[in-house]
Amino acid sequence: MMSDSNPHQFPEACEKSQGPIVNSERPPLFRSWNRLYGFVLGELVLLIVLFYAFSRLFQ
Amino acid sequence: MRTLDWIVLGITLFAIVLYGVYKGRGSKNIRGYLLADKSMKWYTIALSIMATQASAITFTSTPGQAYVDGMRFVQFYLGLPIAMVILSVTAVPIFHKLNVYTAYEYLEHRFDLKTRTLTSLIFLIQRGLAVGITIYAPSLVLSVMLDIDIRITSLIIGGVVITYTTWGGVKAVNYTDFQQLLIITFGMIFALCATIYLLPKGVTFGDALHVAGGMGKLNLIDFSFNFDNRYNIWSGIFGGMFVALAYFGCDQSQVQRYLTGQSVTQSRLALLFNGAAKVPMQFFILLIGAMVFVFYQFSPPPLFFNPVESAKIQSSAYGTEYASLQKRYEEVFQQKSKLLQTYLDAEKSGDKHRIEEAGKNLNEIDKQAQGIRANAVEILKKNDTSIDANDTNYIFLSFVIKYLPVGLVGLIFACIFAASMSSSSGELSALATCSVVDVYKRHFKKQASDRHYLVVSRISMALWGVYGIAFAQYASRLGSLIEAVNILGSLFYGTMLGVFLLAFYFKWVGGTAAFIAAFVGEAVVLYCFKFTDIAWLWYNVIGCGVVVGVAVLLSLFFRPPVLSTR
Repeated sequence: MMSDSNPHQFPEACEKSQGPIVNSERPPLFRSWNRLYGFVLGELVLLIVLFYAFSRLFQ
Repeated sequence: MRTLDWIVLGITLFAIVLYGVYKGRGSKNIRGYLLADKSMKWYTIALSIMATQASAITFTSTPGQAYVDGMRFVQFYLGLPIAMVILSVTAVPIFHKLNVYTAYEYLEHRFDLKTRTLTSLIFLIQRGLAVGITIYAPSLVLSVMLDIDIRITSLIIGGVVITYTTWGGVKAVNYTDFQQLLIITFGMIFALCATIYLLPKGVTFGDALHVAGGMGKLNLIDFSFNFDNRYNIWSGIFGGMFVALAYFGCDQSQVQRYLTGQSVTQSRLALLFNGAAKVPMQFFILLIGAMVFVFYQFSPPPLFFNPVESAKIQSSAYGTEYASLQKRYEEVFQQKSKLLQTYLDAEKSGDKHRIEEAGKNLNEIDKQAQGIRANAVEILKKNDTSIDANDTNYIFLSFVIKYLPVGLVGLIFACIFAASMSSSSGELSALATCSVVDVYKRHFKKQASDRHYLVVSRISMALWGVYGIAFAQYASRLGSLIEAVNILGSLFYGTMLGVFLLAFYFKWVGGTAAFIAAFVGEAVVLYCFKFTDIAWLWYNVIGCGVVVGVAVLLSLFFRPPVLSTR
């Protein structure tokens, strides 16, 4: 079998796929996924601030 | 290159093939061959994702771009971390739950067969053209720098990739990508250290940064907004986010990387690692370019960095004219060296007025040097109208060959080969997967044994590889078509992203609405490309917005017929 799903039953599979998808596994760091997402976005903000400061410092 | 460099390059390439073949062993079924039995850990996937994204041109062109245009290119990547978070929340759990082989398979689950086929075909056309370029572009640069026929460099890159991908499938791709990115990282760290070390005595890293900054090369963040400006913080965050969403969410060459994850957690961690590491990595590569720029303020740079074209013009009818420009360029360089010393003295004194004055003089003389370079390009174009007048790709490698110590030169060239192979192997495996799963199995041979599909996948992988090499062999005859092919890729991403966004978030939109909207969205993007000056980063936003808007409207006004597709 190529895939667990039957290609001729896709509409039903579609209905199933729209149910809530829960990942109960926690990330190894930061205890929750939201905190890990926050870390990645926080790092982005920090990098923008640092890049700006870097540009200004050596301009 | 000297003997030791060739040995380092040869050993590295041999090790890559050996490692790929060894790690890819044991793929006895289609799930193992195309999904690595979903057994990959996050760190392997993360480095594979980064290696696939970073092509050889990333490492040859990016430092050159910082040399010419400064470090503002880093802003292009600022939207990527946001996209990684969005995809971790949405796409990753859905793809894992449905146990799909391709991203487009999900669209049949959600919409219908025609939408799946349309997006898969768009991918096959776009990536099929790109895989040729992925092999051709670095082959050309390497052939010029190593003075080898382009057919040999493209055969080496393509041959090595075909060997381990056909043998080991996606598992071999992921493991070799991992190893290749490690080689690249070490190579680039050594290159940066060597560049700083090669600066004249008495010029510190801090001085080098002041020179780069004073001459406008550390322009990392630009807050001004302009639709025509390719790189500012707004186009980077919004346009870049859409590009990254499309590339990592709808492009099978990336989706396949994280579909191999053991679980949702492993795939998510891989994407988030990429989100956290990509921007610093690009900053670091651009910094190498800025340091090469500073180096060439103290050592005379060539007038044109492509050595083959330089040699050609010198022996042409324009040779005398070019030589006089070269002489003038050297004189300007001498004047610039003196002004540079004055600028550094002013920096050390801390006197703002002196710094400003010296900086102004330095930039004026630099403009003169740039003007001479522009004149040289005009002469090159006069001599040969088909010439590639952009020498950005040659700046870094020209510096590497001329100034870096023996052994390190071989390592840097190994990095460029490795980067080229990591991108093309990811593309080959994705093209083979879509060809077999979305086209062959879905439309031509629906019921066959697992062994049959495995054999077809191997053949498909090899055929796409042979096609890529053949394209690279003849690409130089295509002239400006190469540029068109590169642009072509960016024209489809917005439409594909729009279809996927509809699938994820607009549950009431049906297959026909999405299908029609995809055509309308593509027409609008093509119109923007043909008749407006809008920077290409915005095409993704526009295409995606139009697809979503049109599909939602169609669903509102023509609800019964549109939803009757089931």
